[in-house]
Amino acid sequence: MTMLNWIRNWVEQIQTAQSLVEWRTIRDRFHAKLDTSSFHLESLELTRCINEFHDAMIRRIAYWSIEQVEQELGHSTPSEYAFVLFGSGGRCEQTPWSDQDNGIIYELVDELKQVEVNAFFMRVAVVWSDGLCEVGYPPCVGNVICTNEQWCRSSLGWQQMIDSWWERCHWEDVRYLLITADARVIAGNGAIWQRIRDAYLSRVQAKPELLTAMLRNTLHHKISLGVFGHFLTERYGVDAGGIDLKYGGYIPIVNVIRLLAVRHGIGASSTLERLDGLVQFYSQEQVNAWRETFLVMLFWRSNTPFEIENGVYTSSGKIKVNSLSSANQKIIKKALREGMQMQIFLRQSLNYKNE
Amino acid sequence: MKNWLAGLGVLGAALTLPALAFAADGPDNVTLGASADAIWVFLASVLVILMQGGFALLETGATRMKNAGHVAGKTILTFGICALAFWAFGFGIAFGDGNSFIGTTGFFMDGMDSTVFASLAYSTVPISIKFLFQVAFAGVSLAIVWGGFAERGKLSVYFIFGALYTIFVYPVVAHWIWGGGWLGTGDNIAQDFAGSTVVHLQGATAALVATILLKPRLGKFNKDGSPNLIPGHNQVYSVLGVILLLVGWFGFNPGSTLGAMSPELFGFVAFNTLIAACAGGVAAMVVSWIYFGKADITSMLNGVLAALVAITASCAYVEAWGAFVIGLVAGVVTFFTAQWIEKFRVDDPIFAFSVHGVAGIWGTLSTGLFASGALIEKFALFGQSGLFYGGGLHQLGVQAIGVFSAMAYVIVVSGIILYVIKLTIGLRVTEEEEVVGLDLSEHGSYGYPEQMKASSTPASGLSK
Repeated sequence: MTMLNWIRNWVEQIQTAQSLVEWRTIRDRFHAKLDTSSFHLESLELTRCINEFHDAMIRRIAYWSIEQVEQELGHSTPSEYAFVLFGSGGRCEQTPWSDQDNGIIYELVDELKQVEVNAFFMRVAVVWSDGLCEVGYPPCVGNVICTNEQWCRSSLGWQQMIDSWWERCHWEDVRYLLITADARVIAGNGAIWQRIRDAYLSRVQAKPELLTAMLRNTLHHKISLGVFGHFLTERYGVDAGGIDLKYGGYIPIVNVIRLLAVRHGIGASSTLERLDGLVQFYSQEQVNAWRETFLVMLFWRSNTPFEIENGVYTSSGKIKVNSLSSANQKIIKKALREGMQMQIFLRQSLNYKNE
Repeated sequence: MKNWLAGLGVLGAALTLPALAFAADGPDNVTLGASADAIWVFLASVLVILMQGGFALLETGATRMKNAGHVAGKTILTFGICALAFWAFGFGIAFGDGNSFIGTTGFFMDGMDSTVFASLAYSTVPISIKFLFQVAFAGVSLAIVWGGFAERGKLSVYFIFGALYTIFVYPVVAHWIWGGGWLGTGDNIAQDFAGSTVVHLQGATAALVATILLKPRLGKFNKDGSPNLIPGHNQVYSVLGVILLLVGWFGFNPGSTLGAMSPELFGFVAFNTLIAACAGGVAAMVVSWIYFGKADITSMLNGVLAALVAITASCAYVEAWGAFVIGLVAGVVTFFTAQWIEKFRVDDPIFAFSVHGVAGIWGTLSTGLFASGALIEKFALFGQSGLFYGGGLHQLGVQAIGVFSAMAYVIVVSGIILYVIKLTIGLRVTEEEEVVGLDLSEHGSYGYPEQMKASSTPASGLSK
């Protein structure tokens, strides 16, 4: 069976299933197969495969939640809407254990019906999120989730909120702006979010100094490599001796590519598409080097151990150094060194001065 | 109070020395010199006793809130036990006339009669003040031991082991090196100016034996052997503790001259002490930054203390550059041994063995490398030049014998004592008592009542 057929088969199963119990069973079977799979997947294929699966599942449960709420409240959906993913879901870089970072956006045609429409979608949010939880997606610890009113609002509400972030530009506001940059529509009408994204990018183009605030916000994620080129590992806990591949490698690199893309008005949400867009602004050779580094981190991040805890899939994003062969350690170290260079490049290109 | 006033009077007299020296009815130069000696050693004793405050803060800050009252309070209790045991037996065993292994005279010392303390006769200071100074040292050694007991030792064990350590462990090695014993006389004299081995290595070795016999605190290690962080509850206490210890060390090392008539010597000792301490603290902070990617405060504190421990033996024997290197190496080595010991699943809650043991070994050996013949001659010190000053390996060998024999003695004797306690009354509180915290289980009230009562209700049957 080819890779394409294999994943298509899973997607079909998801689409034909009708209940959360069935979806959970499919998901558990999928992970079991993936775990013991005989596929020798390259980094990219592995990620695409996992993401197609998650997308199909999350999308199916989104539409299912609309149906449930329509039945429950006894009327049809009051307006156009879009289900949006943030974080790794938005970037099409989900791991087997990705959590829920999501939101809902809807059109408000009649201002007078605001309370009613809002109540409808807040109910959808609860059903969607609870459904995802049952299927094994843990809620976002940072509360970036559709059941939080901040992340479930009308398009006007979204626009006003994002404008207020730009105006205040405090640390937390900038964090939300960075999260919003990775948004991707998973179900519903994509055009609604497209307008928000266009306004977002135009704002940065008009005021590039906003990028400096965004850079400052991401600098606290340091690459896990010491001054002598050694891995900086966890000292304590069950991950003692482990490298934090997520926050000490993958996230800093994603942050660099995101900021470069936003700087140049590239609207794509996935890192790979952003890299494709960056070819217009940087040499092919340079972009290829960035892509190679990113793929190494993407692959190893997807290979960190995970477990089922309280019914949901979780991973610390850390991998023990002594579980890696010396060849793999070299590969990871090289990618981390390149990641450091990318951070330096970004600082220099934004003319960032330490305060 | 009267003694204080008298002391101040003498100090005042010393300041007006030229006028009084020629007065027919005033004290003569010899009396004034003796008074200055006494005041200096008395002051140094006070500084060293104040180090108990440093240990209380350091240890309390490095442990959890539920044990705070116990950890701090037992410092005073055990100093009391130590002082009484040292007065009754320890001082005589350490400094009383006897054989080359132990002192056999001077028990229950009366505070006046110094005739049976030949080993201390080189100083004119009254025997009462010499006792004060020496008991402060014994108290420091014992305070180090308790690091290995932290957060799980039974209170009754503090009474028993505190007394037995002060009688059967500490004074014996003190006698060997300082009391006219086999390491302090003849051709092979160990150089341990203020006690890297006598005070620190002994305490640390007993702490290591204790921490191994007690086994790790609940929750310190996971099933796969990976360690968990059990953070102390107040890093500021720990920092203040180290500052108090640092200040106290200026009584510990320079006071070991046991006299004020050689100001150049005690000034030089203080100078070397400072250089080493600063080098150790800075080095440990830098190495932790390199190794962890974060500048670790605890590592820096350990680095300062390790450097102080290391320079304690060598402070009079080495030149400034030697003090710098000794402190720097102590700071770096201690940082790595603290990590290394944890890998062996040994839970040393406040790094007692790394800071006082490893640095104690290094400090003692360091004089075998850095001891300067010129300084030995100038200050009339014991032993020979170190390897780097043309003395060859002789002094290094003597130092190594000192380290080895002291460690072996402490491991055997404290091991026997602790093992017998373990077999009889037990060393460790119950699991339930450990979880609830020693403040409540051993003393019946919390060190931080407002904070603790809200967060945990004691299990039934534990409220005493």
